[in-house]
Amino acid sequence: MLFNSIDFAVFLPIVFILYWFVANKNLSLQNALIVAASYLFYGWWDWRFLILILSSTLIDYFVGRGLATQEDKFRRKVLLWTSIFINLGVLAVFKYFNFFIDNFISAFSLFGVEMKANSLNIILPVGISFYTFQTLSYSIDVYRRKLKPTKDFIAFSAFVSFFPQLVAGPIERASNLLPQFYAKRNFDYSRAVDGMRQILWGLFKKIVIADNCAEYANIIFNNSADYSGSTLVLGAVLFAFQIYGDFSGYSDIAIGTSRLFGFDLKQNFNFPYFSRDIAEFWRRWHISLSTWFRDYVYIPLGGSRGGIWMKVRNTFIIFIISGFWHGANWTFIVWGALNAVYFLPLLLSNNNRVNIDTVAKGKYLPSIKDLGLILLTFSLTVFAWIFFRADNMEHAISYISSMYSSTLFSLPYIFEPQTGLQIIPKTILVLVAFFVFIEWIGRDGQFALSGIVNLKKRAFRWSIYLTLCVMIILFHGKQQEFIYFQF
Amino acid sequence: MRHFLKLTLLFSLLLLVVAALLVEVPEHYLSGKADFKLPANTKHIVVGHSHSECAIDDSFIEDLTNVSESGEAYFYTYLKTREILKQNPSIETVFIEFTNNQIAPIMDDWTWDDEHLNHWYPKYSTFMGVKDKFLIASNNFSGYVSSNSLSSSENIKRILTKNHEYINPVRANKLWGDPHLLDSLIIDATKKKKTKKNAGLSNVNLTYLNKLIQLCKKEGKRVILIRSPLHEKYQGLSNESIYQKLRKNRFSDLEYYDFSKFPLDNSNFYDLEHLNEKGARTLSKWFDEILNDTNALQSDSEEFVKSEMLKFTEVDN
Repeated sequence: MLFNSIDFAVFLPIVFILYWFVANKNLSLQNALIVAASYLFYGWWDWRFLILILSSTLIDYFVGRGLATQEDKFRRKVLLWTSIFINLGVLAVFKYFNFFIDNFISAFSLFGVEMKANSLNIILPVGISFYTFQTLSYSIDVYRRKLKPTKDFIAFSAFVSFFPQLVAGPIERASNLLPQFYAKRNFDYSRAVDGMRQILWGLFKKIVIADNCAEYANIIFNNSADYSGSTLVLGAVLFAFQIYGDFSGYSDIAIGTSRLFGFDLKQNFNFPYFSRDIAEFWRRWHISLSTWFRDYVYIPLGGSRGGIWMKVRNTFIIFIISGFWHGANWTFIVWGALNAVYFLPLLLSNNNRVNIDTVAKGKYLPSIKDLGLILLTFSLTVFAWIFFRADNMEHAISYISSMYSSTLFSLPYIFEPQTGLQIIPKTILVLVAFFVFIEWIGRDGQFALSGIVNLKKRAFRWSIYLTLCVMIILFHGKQQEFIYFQF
Repeated sequence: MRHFLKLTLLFSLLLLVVAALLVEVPEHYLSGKADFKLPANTKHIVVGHSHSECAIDDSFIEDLTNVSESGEAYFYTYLKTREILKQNPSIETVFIEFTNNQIAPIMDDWTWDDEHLNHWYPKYSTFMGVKDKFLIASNNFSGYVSSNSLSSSENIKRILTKNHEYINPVRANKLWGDPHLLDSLIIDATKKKKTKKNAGLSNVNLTYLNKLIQLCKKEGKRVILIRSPLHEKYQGLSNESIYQKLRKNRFSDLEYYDFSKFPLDNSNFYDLEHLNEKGARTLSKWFDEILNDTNALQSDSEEFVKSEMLKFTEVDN
C-alpha cells in the first residue's frame, strides 16, 4: 500500500492504537505487533513477496547465530559469504537476470553468433534492494564483531521488516535500529508530534511537488523529439524535483511514521540541492545508501588511501555499483560513472571535504559565491538525472543533443495533453519556488518543518499545517507511484 | 497520549470541515452559473461517446449539435444532458448513441475507475446528487477521494478564471488516420480467433441510459437511439446477439437508427469502430438530408431511414 493512499490512512491509525493501547503491555507484544503489521503491509502488494522476506530474515538470523558461536576464521568467512551470496543472489535473479542475458546475447551477436535465451518473466519484489542491504549490514557487522548477534528472532524480524522503511528505505544499520527493538517503547508526545509534522511535510513533497512535476516531466521526456532545447532543460529540472520530492518525501513519511511508534531512524536527505559541490551533494543525498557503500565497499577496497589510480578505481567502482543498484539499465551505470567523473577532481585535489557545514549558516541569503556554487552543482546533478530518467542510452543521447540546439534559449512550453495548446506550466513553477523557499528557511533542521516547534502559539502552527493540507488537497497531482519502489 | 489523540482528532475534524468547504462551496457557486448553452437554433442533439463523436459532423447538419465525448459513460452523459435540456428548451430530439460496447462490463470502469474519474468527476461533480456520489464512492472510494481533490481545484480555477462553459466543441470527428493503420487492423482482426461472446452487462451503464431516456421523455423530447457505423471486422460485435436481445427487450418502444452497416468503404474509417473525417462528412451530409425530409422524424421514421440507407451509394456524395 502506498503511503499516500486510503489503505495506509486506515492501516496506520489501527496499528498505532493497537501498538500503544494493547501491545504496550510488554516488549515482545510490541515487537510481535510490528512484525504482524509489517508483514500485512508488505503482503498487501503481493503475498508471495512474504516468502522472500521471511527467507532473508531466517538466513541472516541463523548466520548471525552461527557467527556468535563460531571462532574459526574460515568458517566465519563461509557463513558471511553464505549471507552475501544468498542476499545478492536473490537480488541478481529478480533484478538483473534479464539485463545480463540481453547483454550477453548482444555481445555475442557482435561476433555474428546468434543466440536465443529465455528471459524471466518475473515481478521485481517491492523493496528488495533495500531490505537485502539492510540484512547484509547485520551479517557484515556481526562478522566484524561490531555488533552482537541477536537471539531474539521476533526483534530481528521486526528490524528486517519494519514497515515504515521496508520498501524504500532509509536503509537502516542494525547497530542503530536493532537495539531499539530490545527496549520497550514509551509514548513521547513531542516525538510523536514531530513525527506527524514530518509525515505532513513528506506528503506535501510527494503529492504536491513530486506528482505534479512528474506529470510535466513525463510529457517532456516521453515526447522529447517534439520540444525545444529550453523545454528539455525544464523537463530535466522538473525531474530533479520530482525525484527529490518523491524519494525524500517517502523518507520523511517513513521517519515520521517510525517516530509515532517510538523509533528514531537516520536522516536520509539533508537538503542536497543546496550543496556547493558534488562531494557535499553525495553527503546529503540518499545518505543511508551512500554510507552503506562507503562502509561496506569503498573502505574495504582501500577507500581514499593508496595511490591516485587506486582512488580513481575505487571511486568509479563505488559510483558505478551505486548506479547499477538503482536498476538494470546502462543509463544507471552511465549516471553513476558521470557522478564519479564529477567527484574525482575534488577527491584528487583533497577538496572533497571543504563544504561541511550548512550553507549560509545563520544568514538569510547565500553569498554570491555560494549561490554560484549551488547553481553549478545543481546543474551538474540535473544533467546526470537525464540519464537516470531516460528509457535507454539512445533516448538519453538524443535528449541531450536536442537540448543543446538553437532553441536552448527560447521560451519553454509544453503541449497541454487535453487541448494540445502550448502552455507554460506556471503553477508548478510557483509551487517549486515555494517549496525551495520553505526548504531554504528550514535547512538547519532534520527536515524543513522541524523549526516550527519554535512557534509558541498553537494557532500559528496549526494554520501552517492547515495551509499545507489545503495545498495538498488543491494541488493534488495525478497519483504516481514512488519512483524508488522500482528499485 | 490522550492529549496527543485529542489534538489529532481535533485537527482532523477541522481539516475535514475545511476540505468539505473546499469541495462544496465552489460546487454550490458553479451550479448556479454553469453554462450549457448551445447555438440558438439547435433542435437536435447527439449524445454518446467516441463513436458518435467521430461519426457525426454537425457542421454539415442543420439545427443539430453533437455533444458526444470520447470515453463518456452514460452516468456522465445523463448529468450533462440534464443540464443541457434545462438551458436549451429549443431542443426537440435527442439522439443517443447506443452501441455494443455500451452494454459491456467495461463501462463500469468508464464510470468509476481512476483514469476516467480523474477526467470526468472534476467536470461533473457539481451536478451530481448524493446518490450519484455514493455510487462512485462505494465502487472506488480512493478514486472518489482523489477526484474530489481534483474537482475542488478545478472548480476554484473555473471560478477564478470565470470559465463557466461546460460544452466542449467536438474535435474528434476531425480524425484522419493513416489508411495503412486500418489495413493492419483489419488483418489483425481477421487473424484473431473470434472472441468469446461477452455475456456480461454493465448494469450501471444501462441504469443511467434508462434514466437518460426517462429524463428526455419527461422533458417532452423525442428520443432516438442510434448506432454509428462500425467496420465489419470490429471485434466488439461479438456480443451482437446479446445487444439485439437487450434492445428488443428493454428499448423496443424507442426509435432506433442502426447505421452500423452504413455502406462506407475502408477509406471512411479511422479504425474499426470510428469514422474518419471523410466518413463523418459522408454520413453527416446524408443524415442532414434525412432530417430535412418530411418523412423523417415522423412517428415511424425507422423504416424510412432503413430504406434510405439501402438506397444510399457513396457516389451520391
